[in-house]
Amino acid sequence: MAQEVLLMDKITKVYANGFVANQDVTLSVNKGEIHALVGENGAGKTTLMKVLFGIEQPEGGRIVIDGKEVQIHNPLEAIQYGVGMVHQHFMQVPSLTVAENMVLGMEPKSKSKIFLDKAEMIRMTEEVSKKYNLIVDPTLKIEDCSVVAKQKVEILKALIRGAKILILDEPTAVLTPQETDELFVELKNLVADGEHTIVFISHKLHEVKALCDRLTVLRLGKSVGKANVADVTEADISRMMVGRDVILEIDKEPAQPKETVLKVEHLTIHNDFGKTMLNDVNFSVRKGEILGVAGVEGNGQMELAEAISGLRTFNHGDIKINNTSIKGKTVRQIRELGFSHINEDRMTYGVADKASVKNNIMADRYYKKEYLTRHGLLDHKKIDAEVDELIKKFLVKTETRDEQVKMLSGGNIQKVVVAREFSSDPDIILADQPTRGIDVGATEFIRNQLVALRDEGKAVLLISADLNEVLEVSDSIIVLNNNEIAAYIEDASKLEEYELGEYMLGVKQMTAEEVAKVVHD
Amino acid sequence: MGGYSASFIFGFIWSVIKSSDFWAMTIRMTTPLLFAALGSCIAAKSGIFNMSIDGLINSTAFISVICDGFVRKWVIGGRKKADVGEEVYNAIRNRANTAGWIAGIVGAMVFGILLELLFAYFVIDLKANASLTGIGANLLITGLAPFLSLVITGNRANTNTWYDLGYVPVVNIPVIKDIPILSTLLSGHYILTYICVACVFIVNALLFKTAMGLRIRAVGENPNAAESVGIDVRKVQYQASLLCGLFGSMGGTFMSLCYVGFWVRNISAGRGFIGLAASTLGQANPIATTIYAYVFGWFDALGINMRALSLFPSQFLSMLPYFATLVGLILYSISLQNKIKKAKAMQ
Amino acid sequence: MTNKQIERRFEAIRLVASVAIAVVLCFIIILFISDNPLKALRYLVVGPFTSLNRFGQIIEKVQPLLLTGCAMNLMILAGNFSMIPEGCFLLAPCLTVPVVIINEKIFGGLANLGEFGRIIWVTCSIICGGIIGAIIGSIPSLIKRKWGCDEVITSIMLNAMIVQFDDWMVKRVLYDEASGLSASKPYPEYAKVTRLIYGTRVSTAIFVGLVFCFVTYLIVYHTKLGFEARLVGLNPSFAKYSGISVAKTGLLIAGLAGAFAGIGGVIHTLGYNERFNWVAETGFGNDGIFVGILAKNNPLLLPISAFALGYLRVGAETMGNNTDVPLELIQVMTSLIIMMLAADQLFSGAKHRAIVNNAKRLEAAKEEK
Repeated sequence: MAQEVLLMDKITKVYANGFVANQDVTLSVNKGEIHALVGENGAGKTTLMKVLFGIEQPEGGRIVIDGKEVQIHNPLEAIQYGVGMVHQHFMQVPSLTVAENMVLGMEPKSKSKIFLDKAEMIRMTEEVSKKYNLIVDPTLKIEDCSVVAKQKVEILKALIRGAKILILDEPTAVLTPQETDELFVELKNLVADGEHTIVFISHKLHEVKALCDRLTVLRLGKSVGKANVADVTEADISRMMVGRDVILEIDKEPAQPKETVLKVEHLTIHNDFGKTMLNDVNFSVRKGEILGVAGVEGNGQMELAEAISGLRTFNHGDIKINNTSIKGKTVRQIRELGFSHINEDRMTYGVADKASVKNNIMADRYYKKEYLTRHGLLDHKKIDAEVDELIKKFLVKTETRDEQVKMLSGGNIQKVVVAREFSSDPDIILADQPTRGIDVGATEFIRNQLVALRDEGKAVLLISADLNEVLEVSDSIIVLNNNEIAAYIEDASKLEEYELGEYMLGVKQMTAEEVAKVVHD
Repeated sequence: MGGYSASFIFGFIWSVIKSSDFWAMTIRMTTPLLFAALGSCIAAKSGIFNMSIDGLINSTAFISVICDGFVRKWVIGGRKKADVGEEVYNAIRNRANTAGWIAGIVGAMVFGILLELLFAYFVIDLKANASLTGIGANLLITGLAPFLSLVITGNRANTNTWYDLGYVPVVNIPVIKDIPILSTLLSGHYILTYICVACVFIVNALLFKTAMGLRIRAVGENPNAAESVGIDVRKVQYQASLLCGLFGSMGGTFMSLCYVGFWVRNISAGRGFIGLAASTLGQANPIATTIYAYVFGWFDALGINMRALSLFPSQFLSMLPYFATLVGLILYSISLQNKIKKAKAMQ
Repeated sequence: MTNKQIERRFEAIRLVASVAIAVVLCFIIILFISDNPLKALRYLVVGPFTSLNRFGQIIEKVQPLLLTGCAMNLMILAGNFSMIPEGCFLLAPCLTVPVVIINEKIFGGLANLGEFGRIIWVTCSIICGGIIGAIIGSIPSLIKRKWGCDEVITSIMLNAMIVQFDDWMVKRVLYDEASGLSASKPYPEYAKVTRLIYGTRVSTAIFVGLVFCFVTYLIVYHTKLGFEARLVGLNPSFAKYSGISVAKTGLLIAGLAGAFAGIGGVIHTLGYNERFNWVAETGFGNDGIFVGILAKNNPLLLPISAFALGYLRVGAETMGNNTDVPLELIQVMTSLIIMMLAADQLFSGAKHRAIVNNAKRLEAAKEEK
């Protein structure tokens, strides 16, 4: 009989803004197993692990480790209880050596008690590295290490601190398939001694199948199922993950698409580390339709949005708005082609939080003739009138137009963004995570506005990690997987969510001909 | 050019450069820059861009003189040559001088640490903009030093008439002092100059050989990583600021007690900033920073030596170190940009 | 009470408290070091108003501070902490004013035109000073734009070089033995800015300064550039996303600020000095930081903050001349205020508590209903 090493019982976590990230989530992990924690973006996996690692404090529930109920207030305590976390973004100092990163915070000292004992550092690193068969060069600087080596260091960092329960947060996101295979061999080795246990967080179901013993599925902050991996198929898991509760229903007529506004041709983008984030992507968006972009985050959505909006240069291919290439154009020139953009990072790119509502709304148009007096000065009377009208039209709850945006709630801040972006008479709107982290009322309002704009004959490109949103709002959907378009669904209303899940998670893939239909005319 | 041929000018510059006095002067002129630069190194490694370093030099220069003066007065204690006899008096004087300069260093260190902790408090805890706070701190010192000077010595512009000139011993290195060229070059400097060179290695060891240094570097480069293994980022930054004040303050002491002999208003003449620039160019590595500091000190010395030839107005020669710093900063940024470009091209 | 009111109240409290802390600290210092603290305080507080001469001195100080305050106000609003206005203030007159002294033959004719000649000359020098200031002022930002060097250090290095250049100009090029000091030949009568009050050096420069405060206000709140500058200062990423060129805005603002400081230098020396004799930092550029940050979001308040600093300075001088308390005390005070105003989080704990308490109170009120 397997021994339960970790039990997270009925964990509830409510964030300060009222968002319920975990609701009575139960996770039970047996000693010596690799346990998969799966769920789509925002399902609450990361929050649950933050609670376990002491970064967040839960409102309810208990954590039992090795049969003892424990309270974990900070990462140090988590480490003491034998919990180690391998962060997706490596927590390493690039200019320090592998050995230095390993011992940071618990440095061995020489006999004089003054200096670091470098030999001991290296010895400790080599010892743990050999013990778990994760071979790294202790003298190499992290910045010179390969991604694989960095990942090993991250795992070893937890092991050297005595971790028995390792949490791996999407460890394969940065690896090639071969490297992934290698990692899996190492992880299996690690649990072979029966002492160590791994909680493996992933979206990639074939990896879960290949590696894990049991799995727990989270959906919308609740644990909705657990199973032995051997007993279920990938399609089963996918169905459990993406089954949805329709919270908001949007009434809309079928789309009547007209001519093409946005055309993306053979777009290829490499990120700053040389990794290909988009590979030869082709699609077009027509007037009067909402094209949804679904996909697990990190498949090139961010790069796509940045490239279209002019915030990032792209390597190959072209993007055309109203038949004009945007290559080499400034942000303003692109906007003047009839483009507007809701950025996913609201507080950095969406608003200037210390500026007034008025200035935030005017930021993209203050220079236009209609807002200037005869003398070329800003026509505040006219501006104020327009701002007041927009505040009213977009239901922004603010005392005055001069209130600082940071004093508003998240939903109202997003309404300020929307008031600006939807009122500039655009031909194409790029809505990137338009309702992330805001209340239901504002969400419904923004979704209805998007549909209304479509009905006015605008083109909308909707990028969202929220499946409800993509399925409810979009007319057609493209799915990004592996940095390419994996599927094009012309009529989104005919799409079942489990099918979408299979495309997103790489269980299914359309042929090139099917995908090519997304390019119109 | 003013009746001089180009070959004459180059000949003159050559004659300056090949004299060992010039190189000895370079070593001397670099001392305060280097102290400031070393202080900046530690702060920069912990992730703090220390704009207050020039004020640190200006203030600690003053504090050194005051501590020196008071301690000397106190040791001598009103004894006069006529009362105690010349021999005894000289012995007491020597003792007083020694106590004086040591007190000068210690006093400056204490003040320097306090000033840097204040700066750190504003930047770390009050989240103030480091540039603006640094400017504010420097302006504070340009007011505070003359203020205290007038209150204590009765003169706001300098402490020249207040007490004897600073006395910091000159060290003659036993064997080297008898070797012709090396003696001028390496021997006969103020003790602080030797301490300064020692500090280069101390700071280097501190940053690269101790646990504290490892933590400082980790905090400066990736605070999240440091935090994830339980390091108190704030505490480490305060420690680094303290060390910055400790090492930087000796630059002020050198300026007043050794270089000028007393304190004058704006005694640093921007040397703190030049030191800060050196640490930027050296990417906060103490050894590389030292090399850059010596380059700037070299220009400083060159400017002063060139005055003998009244060809260039002295003002233009005074510009040399600032100009060199400016050019150095620009060249550094260009090389940094090229590196980024190359890295991108590699993809 | 709404959060906005709390926010606004704490903004005001922060300003008042910063000033109050600095003032109280100064009073304490006076108490400690002075034999007669009351007398010192009286001179400091009332001194500036005790004679026309002293009041005139305040205005004399306000004249240049208005323009450097405008310059620094623009810089701070755009999030650029370059110190170059001090350099512009020094260099612009040094290159502009000598023209009239050296070429008296050419410009001498202006003397015959009376007041009209003066207006022509002063206007021309303002324009030249502005252009020179704009060029110098934009250098650190140009360097930053082209190569990415931090503006603060480059501007300080440039300032140090400009001081040497001025020194050279005064002592070698413009030097007039008859002056007996390091100074140029006297300015011809037609080249000076008209003095307003007999016995003081209050001149029409004050009106120029006031006009420029209004111009700054217009720029900040009524032009496209001002709008851009404010957004860039508050959130450069957002400005970029909205289609504003961050680098271009920074460059234009630095040029404009440099021009203002340059103009300030020109009219200050023409109204205040008899000869050109600037061989060291005047400090007006750096004082502009205090004036600019105190009037932070509203350039129309610049005259008030400039007057406040002028008043403090004259009070300090009166105190310094008549008592045992040195006038540098005021520099300590103003620098502390700069530091405290730069600190975003000062009193943030108290503010946070107030907002939380307020939220609790509102919740409680709701429940009662």
